Amino acid sequence: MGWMEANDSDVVARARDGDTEAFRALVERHSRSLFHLAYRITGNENDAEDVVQETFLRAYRTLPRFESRASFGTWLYRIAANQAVDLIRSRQRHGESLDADAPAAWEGEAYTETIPDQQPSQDRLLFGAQVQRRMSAAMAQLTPNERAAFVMRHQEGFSIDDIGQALGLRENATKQSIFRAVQKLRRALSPAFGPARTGTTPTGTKS
Amino acid sequence: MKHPTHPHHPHDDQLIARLLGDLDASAAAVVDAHVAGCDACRAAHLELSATLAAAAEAPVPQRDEDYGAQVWLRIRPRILAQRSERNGVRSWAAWLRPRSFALAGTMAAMLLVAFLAGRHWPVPPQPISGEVRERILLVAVGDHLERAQMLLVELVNDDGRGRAGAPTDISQTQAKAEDLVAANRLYRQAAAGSREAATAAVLDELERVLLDLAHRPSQVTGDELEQIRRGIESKGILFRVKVIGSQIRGREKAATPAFPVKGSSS
Repeated sequence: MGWMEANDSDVVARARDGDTEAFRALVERHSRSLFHLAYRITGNENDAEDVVQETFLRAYRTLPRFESRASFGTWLYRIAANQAVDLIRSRQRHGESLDADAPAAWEGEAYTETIPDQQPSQDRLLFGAQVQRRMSAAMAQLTPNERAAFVMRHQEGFSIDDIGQALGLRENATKQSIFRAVQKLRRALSPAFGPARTGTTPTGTKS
Repeated sequence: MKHPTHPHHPHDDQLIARLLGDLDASAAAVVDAHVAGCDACRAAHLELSATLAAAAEAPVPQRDEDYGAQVWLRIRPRILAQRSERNGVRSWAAWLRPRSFALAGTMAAMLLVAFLAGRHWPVPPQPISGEVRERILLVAVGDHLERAQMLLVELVNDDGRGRAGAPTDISQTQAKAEDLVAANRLYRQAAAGSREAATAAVLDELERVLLDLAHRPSQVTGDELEQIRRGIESKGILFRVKVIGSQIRGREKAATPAFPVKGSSS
């Protein structure tokens, strides 16, 4: 059986015994999905590449401490999320742009007059592009934990428990990070999707 | 408008949790029932739903199928360096365990014991003379050079590889090279410390060749393989390894007294 056919636990066991070819198989198996996660969190291709590489280097260093009962993939993704958050914090400390791939400015950009209908059209494409630009910029405004928690839960399907372990947060703090992230994104996109556009105004009192 | 049967609007966090699938079935049913009959909450629900959908649709640059292989190539030197460090630590730790010392029988461990026993054992059970230490070093380095020589000969003489145009897998050879690197470093340092300048110089050159080999991609073209061979031949490293190996074997023979080692008490 080749490395690529073997399941993670067999390959991880060999990698822990010092077999670099086995570790190589793990790198080849998980790199693309790690890049996906890293890009979602960092919003930047170069940073995502760095996160992927640093994740594997750290994984190799700490592989002897990996408990074989756990999922290697989940363990790896936790490291990646942690690395991505650290990188964002480092960028912020040095006053660098959080999201180099995001447009520099979107405030004041007017949406198309109405939400386009379902037919593919120039208007619809333009509207979609505007939403994505605003989304990208709004993501860049989230705190590192909000961003990572939201991405891991909504876009990558991690459990609250796994996210909490990756980010070093308690369950409630993890949930609050996600809620705050969604509310911030909602506010950023409200000109497109909010009540003002739909004409519906809440009249009840929220508990 | 308040819903007649669900007067309390769910908090936005509950709507978000519902959309993310984080509510249990009964809580989800309550929220769903309320949203179905409440215009305000339905609007909020739609707005949050659209926000999450937009986030899910955010594009991610794609990576090629061989992206993992590219990542491996980039991190491989650092992985190998980590591995060498780890192996080095293991060797040092291993010789401190009496049972391992008895069983290991590796030349690297013998070398370390020979060089370090006097300095690191609180009460050395048997003082080991300089002659014995030198002899153990000679045996160890001689064996090491023989293994390195076999590897280089295998690379230089194997005409069957890399000639058909298809990439050649040199991972087996690289694995041997990786194994030799850590030991080589120890022997080089030991030789330098023992003023064995010629041996240290050959080991230094050998280490560069081994590292170069270990850090290459495991799949090489015929041209690249030929380039590796030419590099080995042009440096004359194989010849120098043979010469120094032969000299060491000669000295080893001359330095070998009647065994056992423990008889040395000078």
